[in-house]
Amino acid sequence: MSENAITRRSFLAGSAGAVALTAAAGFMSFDAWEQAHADDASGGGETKTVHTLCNACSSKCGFTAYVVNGRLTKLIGDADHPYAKGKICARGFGYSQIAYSEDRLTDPLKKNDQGKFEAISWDQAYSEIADKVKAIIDDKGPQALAMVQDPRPSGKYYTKRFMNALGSANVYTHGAACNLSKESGMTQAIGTGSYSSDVANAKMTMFIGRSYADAIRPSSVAALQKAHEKGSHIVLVDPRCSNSRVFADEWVPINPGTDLALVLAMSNVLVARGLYDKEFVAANTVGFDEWARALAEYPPEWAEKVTGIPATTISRLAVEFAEAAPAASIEPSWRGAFGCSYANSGETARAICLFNTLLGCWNQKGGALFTPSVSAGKLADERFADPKKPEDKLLGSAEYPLALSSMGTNLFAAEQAKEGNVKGMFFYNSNMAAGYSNTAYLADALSNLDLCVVVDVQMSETAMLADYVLPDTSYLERLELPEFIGGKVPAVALRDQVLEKIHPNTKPVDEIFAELAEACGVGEYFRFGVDELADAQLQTVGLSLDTLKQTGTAHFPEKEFAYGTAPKFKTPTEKVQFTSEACEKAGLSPYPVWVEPATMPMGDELRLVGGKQAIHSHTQTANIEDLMQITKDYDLTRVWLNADVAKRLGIEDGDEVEVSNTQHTGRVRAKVTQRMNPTALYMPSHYGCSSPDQHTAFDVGLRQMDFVPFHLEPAYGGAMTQEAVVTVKKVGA
Amino acid sequence: MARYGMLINTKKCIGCYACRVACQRQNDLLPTQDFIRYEEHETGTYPNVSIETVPLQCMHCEDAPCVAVCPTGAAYIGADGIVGVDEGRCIGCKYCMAACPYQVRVHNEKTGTVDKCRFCTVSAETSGTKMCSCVEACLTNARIFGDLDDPESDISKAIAETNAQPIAGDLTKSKVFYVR
Amino acid sequence: MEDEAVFSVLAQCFGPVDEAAWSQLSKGPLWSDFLDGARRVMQADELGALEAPLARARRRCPLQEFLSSGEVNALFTPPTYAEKQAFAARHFAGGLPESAMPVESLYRTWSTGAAPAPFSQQQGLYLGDSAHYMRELVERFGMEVPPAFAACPDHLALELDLVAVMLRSGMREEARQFLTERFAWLTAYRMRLLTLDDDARFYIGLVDVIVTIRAQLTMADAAIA
Repeated sequence: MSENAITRRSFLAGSAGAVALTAAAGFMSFDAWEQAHADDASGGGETKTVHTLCNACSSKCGFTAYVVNGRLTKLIGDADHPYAKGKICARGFGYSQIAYSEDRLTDPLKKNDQGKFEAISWDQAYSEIADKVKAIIDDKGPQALAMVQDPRPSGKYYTKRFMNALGSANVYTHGAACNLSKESGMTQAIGTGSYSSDVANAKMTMFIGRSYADAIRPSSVAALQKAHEKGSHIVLVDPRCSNSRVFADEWVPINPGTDLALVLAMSNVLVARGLYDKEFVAANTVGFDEWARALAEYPPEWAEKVTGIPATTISRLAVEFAEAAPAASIEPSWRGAFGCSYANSGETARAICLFNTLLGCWNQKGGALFTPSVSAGKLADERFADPKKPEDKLLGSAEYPLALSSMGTNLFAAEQAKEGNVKGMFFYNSNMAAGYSNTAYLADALSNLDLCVVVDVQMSETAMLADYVLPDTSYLERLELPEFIGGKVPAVALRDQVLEKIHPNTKPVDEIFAELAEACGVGEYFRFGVDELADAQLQTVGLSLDTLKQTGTAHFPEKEFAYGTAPKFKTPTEKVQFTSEACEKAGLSPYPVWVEPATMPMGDELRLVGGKQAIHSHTQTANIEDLMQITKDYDLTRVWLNADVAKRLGIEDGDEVEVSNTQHTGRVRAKVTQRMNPTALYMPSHYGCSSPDQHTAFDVGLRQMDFVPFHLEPAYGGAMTQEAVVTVKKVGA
Repeated sequence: MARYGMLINTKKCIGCYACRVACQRQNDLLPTQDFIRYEEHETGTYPNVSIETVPLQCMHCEDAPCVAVCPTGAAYIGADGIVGVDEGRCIGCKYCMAACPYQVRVHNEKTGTVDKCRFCTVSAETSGTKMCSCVEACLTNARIFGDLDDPESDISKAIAETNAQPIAGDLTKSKVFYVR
Repeated sequence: MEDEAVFSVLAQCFGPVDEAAWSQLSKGPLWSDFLDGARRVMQADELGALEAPLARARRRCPLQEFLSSGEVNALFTPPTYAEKQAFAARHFAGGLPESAMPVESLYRTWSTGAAPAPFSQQQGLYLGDSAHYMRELVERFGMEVPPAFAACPDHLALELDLVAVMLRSGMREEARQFLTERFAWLTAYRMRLLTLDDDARFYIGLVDVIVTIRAQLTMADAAIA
């Protein structure tokens, strides 16, 4: 190349770049450009609207995105989306900023010998990952690989298909740190992982550890408000007086970890006084007599000592439930108090279903409903055929036999990584290292892998531990598979692409796993586009991709739920199981009995409890400036401390305190309040980010999981995230 | 000419901050520009506690202290009764911030000027949302916006029905009414 | 070396080039020509036109007049291709602790109202006004932003490249205006480079060359005004 040619090189494509522009080509100064676009904001620009789904939490609410001249401008909740009902929450507005964030990952990254990340090409990433995958399979078989993902419409499909194509059954959701115990426990009693309480039409609903006002889904908030305004009796059972208090009649400040005792004692009252639905129990259940006999041990007077709730209150609540039945239920919760919190979480979930059974409220107006859902039918096109089912079962299914196989216990996979049995792990939309269990243990476990691959939009704590980080597009830049939503009128909704891909070297999840599969030699299972699959799925329910793009949400009114229909219980006995063989085989009592929490606070110790604030989802939104500014303005990283306890410890509101236990010690300010049970300390679950690449979130507040030991709930495999006690003292005192 | 006002029912407010973020997003504000601020109250003693969140924003006072103290005329009351800020005239002296009894005027660290709630419904043709962003975003419909002089408006009827009052009585002839 | 070639070389220092091209550029006479050219442009009160005797005298000012000795040394020993690649992989990729993307949008207010946006007043977001302006300008000139720069048409490499293109096309005045309008962000960007663990002196030196050229132009404009 001549000297002249090299110094005339240009990045700007088109022949004019290298040679001279024609004299007529018009330069425009920046000032002039700004003037020319001054009207865009007031309607001068080219506007398009797209229906899509939020990604700020798992609810995935539908909204309409307004895009002017290619830029995202407004977000308006979709009125006919069953969860949004025309609204989105603070997180939904705030999280949209992720698309343009400077903290976005822009290129595939590899950790070099010095432990620092550097950009590499996709080809290099794929081929190196594939080589390691093959080596692991050759050495230890496909079961030495595992995937952890927090389900999203496309992600849950592609991650599972990828792993199964490789021959591995080890696909885990985040569930062990979310709702695994609850869903698994309920399945033992009623054959399904959840139900929906008909809050808006109920005479009485009890929430245990769940707060619709702090973990917001607009339709749930609306239902709670409607119930309250109609005079429904709303009871909050929670060691913390949550913001749902506004729409509740009473707050029952239970000692954390003892919800099971409350449910057993209320059941005791109903059975002892004959206040239960005898007809329903006789016709639809098995094992009632055995449980009824066991309940004799749990009168309200016993439960008072365990729960801290007066026996009279427990009796009153039980009687009020009986009076309100069947238009009454205990709400199923999600993560709340028994999704994964304690050694007794799975059994609490089971007992709650049995209590609801005593009320005879299944499928009754105002009771607990099994609402219908629709799913895609069988696809004729052979390209969509499933890979062969892996020969082995999900790792951990023998050790934690009650854990639902659709979720699995990801912590067991981590434990196996630490012990050297799992050699390669993939993570999609999952920040396991910061949010699932003890952070030090998990860092240690993941560091022991031969291969750790993280697919994400920003550098999470888990990504920091990876060998390869693959940059995902943000949720606003891709089409995903249709999301089917169960409900009184089941529906389907679509996450459509709102913005053109921002960073050219990022890829959507479907492409990443399809191309990775190709590199690993199993590409034959991915010879289709996400749009083709989405359309094929929708065709099976009488829709098409094009039609759903027009509306964002479509309903199936012909499948509408009807009150009073006989519920079908998908248990082995096809009845509600007061006794479960599977539980007995797993070493638990056949019927729910009192199980002590694994750890109890002694002396000055307090139980550390977590929980959501309305502006954040886990650790996922802490790096969003709009939302983090609220945290700063209102000092929301504070730990909540009961006022009497604070007085005893010499702590005043706003004081900096040291929170300490065997796992960790950290400092944060305290909120001294009447809103806390005196045996507990509340630490919001969103803070303490330790990834310096997240400029906004980094080093703000404390991280609950730093204080939680690594352990698993027997039989169910949950993370027992609230089996941790701490001491608190004023800094400098 | 309409006389615009707002009603905020704190009995419906769950303190979720959706109105703040919606306002910031739909009105192009900085994260630090909070046109809506919140006061949280807890009453009673454990375990008999009740809570209240009170969202506060520019009350569009008829007797506006900010306008009275502004040395340059940047703070003004428009023909429609809405308290406005002429950014070009604002010198950032913050007298208005000191004078506002509700502490709802916000300094813009980028421009050095002071701003606050604009009752954005009235500029709906340009800002796009049908109703004030906060009213549209509120998950519990705790907010009503409308014409206080029209006895048939939703807001007038709601004020009459609930006996809603300005947060500080007659102090500044505020046009934001509260149910508490 | 001609002024336009100086800007072409600067662009190639910040952008992706192949190994052969970089070797040819960074080794041998071409590189010293570039340094000589850069020195000249920094001293010119108007790009390429130096008539006043005093200015001619100043022309002999060594690079040390403008840059620290560490930067001068770094500029005299440009990185090898492998070093250049490694620096780009660690610092010109997004989302890393050591990211230092040379992208104007990340260092200015996203939009001053020209484009409607919910984040308009915020800083540190991709595809701000400067990016949209650059794309439009490049397209007005009948060129295209390469696909690899889709997220950052206001990448330093492209901004420098455009200066070269304009100079080569005889658009001297326009290039001047563009330089003064566009490169103010480099002061903040320079700060970012200073915080890196890795040795960034080569790039800081290059940034200082551009900043000095800009300062020279701004002073000249002020003198005229």
